[in-house]
Amino acid sequence: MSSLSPSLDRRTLLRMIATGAAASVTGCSAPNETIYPWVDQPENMLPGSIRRYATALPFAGYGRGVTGLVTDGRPIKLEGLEAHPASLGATDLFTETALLDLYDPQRLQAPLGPSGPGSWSAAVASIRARLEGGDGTGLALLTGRVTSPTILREIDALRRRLPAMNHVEWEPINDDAQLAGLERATGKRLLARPRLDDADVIVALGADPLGTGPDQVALARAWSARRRRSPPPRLYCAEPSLTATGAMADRRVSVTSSEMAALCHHIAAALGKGAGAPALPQAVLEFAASAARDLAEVPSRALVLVGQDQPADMHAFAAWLNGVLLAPVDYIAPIASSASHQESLAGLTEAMHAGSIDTLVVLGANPVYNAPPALDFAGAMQRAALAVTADAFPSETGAEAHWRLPLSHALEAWNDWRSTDGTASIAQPLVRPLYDTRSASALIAMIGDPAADAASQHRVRETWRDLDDAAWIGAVAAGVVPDTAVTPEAAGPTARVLPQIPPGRAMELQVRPSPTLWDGRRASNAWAQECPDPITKEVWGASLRCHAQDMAGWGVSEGDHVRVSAGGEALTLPVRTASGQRRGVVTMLAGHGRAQSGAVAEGIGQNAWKLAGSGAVAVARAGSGRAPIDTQSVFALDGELAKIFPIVAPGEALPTKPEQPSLLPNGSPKDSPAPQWAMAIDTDLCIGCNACVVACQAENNVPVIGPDEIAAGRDMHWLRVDRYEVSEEGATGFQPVPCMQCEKAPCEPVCPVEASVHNSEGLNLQVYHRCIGTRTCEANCPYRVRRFNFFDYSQRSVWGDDEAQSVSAQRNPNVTVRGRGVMEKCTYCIQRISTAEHEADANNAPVGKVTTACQAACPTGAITFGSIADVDSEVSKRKRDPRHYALLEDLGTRPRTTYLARTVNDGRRHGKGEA
Amino acid sequence: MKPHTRPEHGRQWTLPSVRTLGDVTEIVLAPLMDRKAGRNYWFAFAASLAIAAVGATAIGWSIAVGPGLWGNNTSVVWGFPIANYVWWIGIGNAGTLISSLLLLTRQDWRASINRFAEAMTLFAVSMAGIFPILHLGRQTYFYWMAPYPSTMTLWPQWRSALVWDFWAILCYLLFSVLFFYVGLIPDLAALRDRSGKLGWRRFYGFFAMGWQGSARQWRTQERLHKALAVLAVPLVCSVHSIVGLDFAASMMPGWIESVFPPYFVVGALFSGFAMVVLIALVLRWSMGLEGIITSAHFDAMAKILLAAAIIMSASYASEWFSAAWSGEAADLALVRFEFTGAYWPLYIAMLACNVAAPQLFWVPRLRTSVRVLVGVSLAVLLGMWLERILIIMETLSTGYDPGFFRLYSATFVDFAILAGTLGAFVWLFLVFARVLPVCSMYETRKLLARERENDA
Repeated sequence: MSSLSPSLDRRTLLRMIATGAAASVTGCSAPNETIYPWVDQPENMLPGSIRRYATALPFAGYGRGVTGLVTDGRPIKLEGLEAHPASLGATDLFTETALLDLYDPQRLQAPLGPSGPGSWSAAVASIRARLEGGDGTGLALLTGRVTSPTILREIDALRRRLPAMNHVEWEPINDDAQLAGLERATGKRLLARPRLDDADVIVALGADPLGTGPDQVALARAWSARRRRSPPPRLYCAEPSLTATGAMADRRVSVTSSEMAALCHHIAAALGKGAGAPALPQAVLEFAASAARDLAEVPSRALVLVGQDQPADMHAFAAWLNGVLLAPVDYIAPIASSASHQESLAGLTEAMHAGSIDTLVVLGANPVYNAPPALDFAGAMQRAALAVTADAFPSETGAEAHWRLPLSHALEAWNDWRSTDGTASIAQPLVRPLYDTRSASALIAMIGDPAADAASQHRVRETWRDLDDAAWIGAVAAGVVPDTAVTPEAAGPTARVLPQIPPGRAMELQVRPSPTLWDGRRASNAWAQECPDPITKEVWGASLRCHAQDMAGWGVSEGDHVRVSAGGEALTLPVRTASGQRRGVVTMLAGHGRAQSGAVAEGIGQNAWKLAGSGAVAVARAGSGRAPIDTQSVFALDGELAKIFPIVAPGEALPTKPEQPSLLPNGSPKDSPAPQWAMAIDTDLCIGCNACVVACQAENNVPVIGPDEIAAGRDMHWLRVDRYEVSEEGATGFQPVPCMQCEKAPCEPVCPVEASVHNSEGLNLQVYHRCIGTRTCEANCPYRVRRFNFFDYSQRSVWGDDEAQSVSAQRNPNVTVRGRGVMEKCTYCIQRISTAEHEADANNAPVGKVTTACQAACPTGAITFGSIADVDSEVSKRKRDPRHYALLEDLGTRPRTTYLARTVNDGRRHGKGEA
Repeated sequence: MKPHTRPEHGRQWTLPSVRTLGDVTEIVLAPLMDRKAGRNYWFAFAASLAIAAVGATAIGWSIAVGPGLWGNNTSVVWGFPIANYVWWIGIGNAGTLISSLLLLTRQDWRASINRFAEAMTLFAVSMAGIFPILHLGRQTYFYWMAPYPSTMTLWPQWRSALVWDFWAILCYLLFSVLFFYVGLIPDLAALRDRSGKLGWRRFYGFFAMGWQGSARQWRTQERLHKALAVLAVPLVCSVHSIVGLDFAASMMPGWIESVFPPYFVVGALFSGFAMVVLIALVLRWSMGLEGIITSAHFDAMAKILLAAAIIMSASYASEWFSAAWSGEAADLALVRFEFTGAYWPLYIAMLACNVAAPQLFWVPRLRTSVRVLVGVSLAVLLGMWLERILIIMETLSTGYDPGFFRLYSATFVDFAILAGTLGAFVWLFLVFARVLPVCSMYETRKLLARERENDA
């Protein structure tokens, strides 16, 4: 395959064509090539128009269906895929940010060998030279979780040639504990798949189903489906540190790990199945009593969830209790290998240290960064005679290897993956490889046979030989292969397991996956780095979350640095008080502290994997340093401020306010012949996942501005998600704030040049080319939703010395790229509205459904958009909901974006009225 | 018109050492014509020019790269430039008021201070005029605020206070130039008629526009001057009211206050007089003008400062009172933020400078003490600048939506630009003091004539 030159976007291509044309006129040595215009243009293939293709992306090894929006041969946006069980039409942050990876200038673009830039053939030859004549002894293939049937087929093929080869899967965030726990309870290595839409009562014990994970979209969808229905469900959450699930819980308690285990004993005892009840703080005891009572009340509709990072006996306990409760949970055999990742990696590293591995091929894994430091993976790598890594981005493991090979982005190659429920999807490429890259399956095939074709389509086709051509095309177009989900297995009788109560520790460390960077593999993604953490709103790094009293104990205040140490490892990082943090627990997010990973992530934060699994830690003051950067400083609402984020009980209505008197006429949108666009956001469904924030960024060409600009208080996200806390524990929630599109917009009369104007459809428009940048509009915007280009952000690069030109290929051609000195803001995706209106004009039909980018992304359906001129529209219905309110209604701005209040089920249906 | 002076007990607007009308001319013109500038002058000249150059570099850099060089952020979108603008234009106020309001109310003592006060106005307004354009994101399109026949037939948006402001500054600048020039003509003629270098005499002669001192010319000049003075009073009030409306014509807590227009007029007068006192002290000391700028002048100006301070205090109190009386949550939160929020030291400093410091002037002795005058004037200038920046920072840092409360901190470039305008202002003054008579000779002569007449 010919390699395209780096950063070949449309403009470069045109420039090259022009240069070529000029050369053919004037020169004599340039090759005489003929290019053909599209004489017979395919129907409906208009330049600038957007076509949608089904495909899939991997996340932690699992496939998730996406719809790629492609214009002029460039994928410019990823949306959900309705047909795919892990997407159901929505996305999450990881799907949204994956697009930027394709165009990221930090990508590995060509093989790098021991003596500088090399070629694929040289790399493969050097691997094969070591394997020549052998049976694969001494060859180890280390990958992430593999679900891809094609990769598994290629590995099997390789193993047939080299039967002694070793294949190990390693994910730092894995299901080891769950598999072990279920094995203990049921005798089988199984994974639990809760059906949240069938659960009236959920008790999450350190579990974060609404937070980060490969299945987060499907879980959030299911939870929100149940949340919309009556009777009001109830979500209990016990956890050491606030998560999205904790934030949305109706009742929450913060616990240490020993309290967590003791809590299980209490719940079991309260259900009449336990013996003995260890001492616990009063709040936890009340929580246990209340949770047990609710669990018992709704048999077969109550569910206990245990977090991925909890010990195996907690999982066993949950399996047992769910069996007792006849809980809505399915069990399936793992889609990927059921071997323990931790043990496999430990075994491999031991063999490496022993010198019995001489050829190591690492495919898409980064153990030097995220393996337990006790294994000393980097040291083990030194023992291998040949270490080859293949990845899309530079990594710590790549830096230790002899060969560093560039992998294609998932959108550049044919792939297949299986979802968490086993559903297979065949993922078609949306663009030719931008650089000299190969897919993972191609690399494995080339190790076996250097003549193997680099192109990946036939390889995937070969895997799906059972599909005839029509079925193949159907599966590719639909994005899923029908009927490939695994059937749940019966768990069988479950043994009663009560978790062992670990000894209390002075200070314990919890390491959680980052909601934006996962285990660190997304750290090089600038969209992800700039996306605020849902809880702390920190960007470009994360601090240690602590309880205020613990901080006082160490003599540190907000933003000071502390030294966290355990075993031989120590990290120094800033601290912050986090609400809902258990005293005696400090929480760190994984995914930061990358090195040799490109300009974006380097030097940001500390690598939590170095301390993961250590449990007890020592924390000491370490002076002051760079303070963490965040985008929100006030979380707690007291007094009058609380009306910003009202909270109601289920069924309770907010007081209706009379129309405010006004000298200016208040027109009724219902009389309008044109559609009247409006949005309603249900804060009771918003889980703060930030998918909308990055969806908006991708759709609307919102630039990345980097940590220094955000530290200066600047911000470019058109949509922000505010998090508020209304009382000490429990009543917290998220409030996404796009432009309110006020009917009486305060920004409009203050603009001296009429750059901020209203249209007949109720949109508050910003005319970028008329704006001279007085910023008066933002000064007068009570909602603070306008964003100013303090510098020429769209032309600046946060990718270090790498030119950001390739990133501009991601830009939406239907949205203006804003220059310096111009104010911008949410437009309700006016380009989508216009497209729908043009279509309606062309077909002489009423304007069809318009979906904004944020709405399309939202996994819980919290965002509704439509015309309020139509009283039957979804958004009009929401605006008649008793929970409906407008932000800062008293100001009389008559916002078109309005909200439904968050509800907290305080358990009044039990007549107890507890909080 | 009958000469009208009411010398108060023991008060003299000129010292007895100044005997003849010729003495006045000598005193005023000596530094221009006869004396070479000393080392201090050239030192000040070079220093102010250097500071102005730093500011000019900062301005050029800001225009080239963008407003991102300043401390402004997404919440506090305005910062130093707007505060500097309001402060400088406020300083301009005093010159116009001294020349017009005191002229109309026949406060003859103004004669010896009005010229440099007017020059101060001119320079301050020029400095102020930099900022509304500089603060834009796209400075090259500032003229879109003016109604001109654009091909897109787009006009400014008249409801915006910024458009009113654009006109207010423009009128004020043009008016200040005109007023200054009309008052200067007789003195230019006097300069032309004295011996000196031919080039300079030609220069003065060109601008004297053939002034011969005929009765008809005097009558015309005086009428025009008075007519302009009549225009000046409403103009100066409207300018500062409109500056106030830049903030008040909004819906932000701390800004949407009907007291803002008069409050800004008084605030302007306050800082303007502080600057006049400071300049008068410097000029008197450096140019030997003790004969015509006397303690009586400072006494009068100190009283004005005291009166203004009391009105300012009432304005602050009215803000607190109206917040408490209305019970508006946002207003109350703002007042609470003023005293307990992140900027409280600045707010307290502002109150100390604007409210407390001028109270010293209740003591007559302190009204003529050079040290106290310098100290209080500097305090008032600082306090008024703090007030300007606090109006912006406090409202925009908080506002209505707690999710987006953000603090402001200025950058080096912000300070460089502010310092640069101060440098340029001083430099312009130094040039002015060497080129034009810093006191109005003909008006001081009139004053002297009346005083001597009364003495007789």
